[in-house]
Amino acid sequence: MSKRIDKATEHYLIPLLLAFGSIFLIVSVFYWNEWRNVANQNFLYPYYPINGTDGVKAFLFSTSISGFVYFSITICCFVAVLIKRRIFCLLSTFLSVIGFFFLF
Amino acid sequence: MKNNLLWKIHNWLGLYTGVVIVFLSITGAAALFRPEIDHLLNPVLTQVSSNADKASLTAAVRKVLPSHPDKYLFEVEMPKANLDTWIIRLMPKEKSKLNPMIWEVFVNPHTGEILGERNYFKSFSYFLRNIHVRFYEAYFGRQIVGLAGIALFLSTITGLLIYGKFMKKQTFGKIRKSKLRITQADIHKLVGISSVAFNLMIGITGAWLGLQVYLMGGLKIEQPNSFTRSEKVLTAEDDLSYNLDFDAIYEKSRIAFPNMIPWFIRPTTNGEGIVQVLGNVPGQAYERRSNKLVFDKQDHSLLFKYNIDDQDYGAKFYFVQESFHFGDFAGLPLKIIYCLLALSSGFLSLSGFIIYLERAKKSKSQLAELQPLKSLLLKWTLGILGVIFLIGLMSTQIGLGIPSVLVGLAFYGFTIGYIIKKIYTFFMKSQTRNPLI
Repeated sequence: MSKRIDKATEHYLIPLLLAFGSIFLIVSVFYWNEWRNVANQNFLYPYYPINGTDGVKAFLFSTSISGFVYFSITICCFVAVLIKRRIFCLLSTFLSVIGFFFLF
Repeated sequence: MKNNLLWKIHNWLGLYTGVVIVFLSITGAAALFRPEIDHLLNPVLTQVSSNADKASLTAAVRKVLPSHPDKYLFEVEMPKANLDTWIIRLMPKEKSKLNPMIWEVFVNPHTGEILGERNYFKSFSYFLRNIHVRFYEAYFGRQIVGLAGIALFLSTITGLLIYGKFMKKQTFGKIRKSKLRITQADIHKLVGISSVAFNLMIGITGAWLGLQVYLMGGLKIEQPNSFTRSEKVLTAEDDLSYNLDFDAIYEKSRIAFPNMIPWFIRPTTNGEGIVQVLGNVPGQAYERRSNKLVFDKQDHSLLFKYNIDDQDYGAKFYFVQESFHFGDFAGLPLKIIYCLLALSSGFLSLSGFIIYLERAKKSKSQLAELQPLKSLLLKWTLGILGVIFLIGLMSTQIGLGIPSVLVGLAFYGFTIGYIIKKIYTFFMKSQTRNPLI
């Protein structure tokens, strides 16, 4: 006897969350990398000293917040895919859509 | 559109372009790490111990140019991640079609010492780029790769649209192990749906980059950051031999655009009397040369400033194509993710081909023509790797010209031969079925 499955979750929400998850994984790696570069100045040294610590601090703060938020959404997406519960998938999709629009 | 038609398109695209996508997937995964590989393979040229001393770039250029009277200055590349040195790039005054050249002189930016020289077209780094970007084929290679990008895009879209129908009552992630075809089909669906966003992006950006010249010409799109001085303030000869103060231009660029890290300084040679400074701004994911400053060579006045952050979505979209396609916006960790995803595209073609072969086994009429799967895959894998190795060897030993001609002859010769063989087989079969006499 065949088992019924939640088609909306399995056939639509999971593919959507996987797509969002992979996009946000890349976005969070991008922010982490930018934060790391400027924090360590490893690509600036010794020819590109950053003038003014305020600008650096603001940059580090903004990239760390963005990186953390997008990484959290990435985790939500992949956890929802693993759990496969419709409510979690819908919530993660909602968060992803908001996150996606904040990229632009 | 009916699912059956979508499946046929997916099947047809995979069958006829699969081998090209496997080739591009392998070469693309390797091409991601070009700067890192160059850094490792050429430590003498690209690595120096860092210290606070700073040499003069102007003096370095003036030291290099007299020893190359047959060449002119094209650009200077500044130190960055995976490149500790200055690269002073020269172009030959007399261009050779069979032996094209971009001559690179590596200079220690702390001492001004010349570390070594090479023809860029003989470097392994260039081979990696060229084999992916144009199959090492000079005429239509780039456009063929662009068409493969369209095929990947359509294959991904059709795969996505038929995903639900093929999953039926199966749950996500379940892999059945009853038969090779079913196992491969389950893995194909799992990998395909997990990498759908990546493959769509690679398909779109690959198609754009491959067909860019035609698309920009057809749609009348100009490069967003282009700047041309309408009047010629110098003769071409004076412009070419102008003694530019690179250190002053560098300092000017730091003042004019403090956030931009200069990557390239490129003077004109056609009489415009300008110098372009192209660079990267931290926090941007655009192509690294999208930000730009243009100065007058003589009085160093700023003529043009282009910050991609201030531009419209069209310009931004233009400048994400290359960086998104090559994963060049978030360092090594992103390249590792890209590498895995790139190999997944090749895996999808391969698993799709296995599914096709296993399905074809069912047809008794085709059974006699089928070769064993293992030997077929081994033959194709060794064939692809052998071709890449052979071209790589020729490229790094001879340079760009001759291998490019040989690849062109082999590619078009094979294609024409294959078409002739198919036509001949078709006519022979129809002759057997309907003999004229």
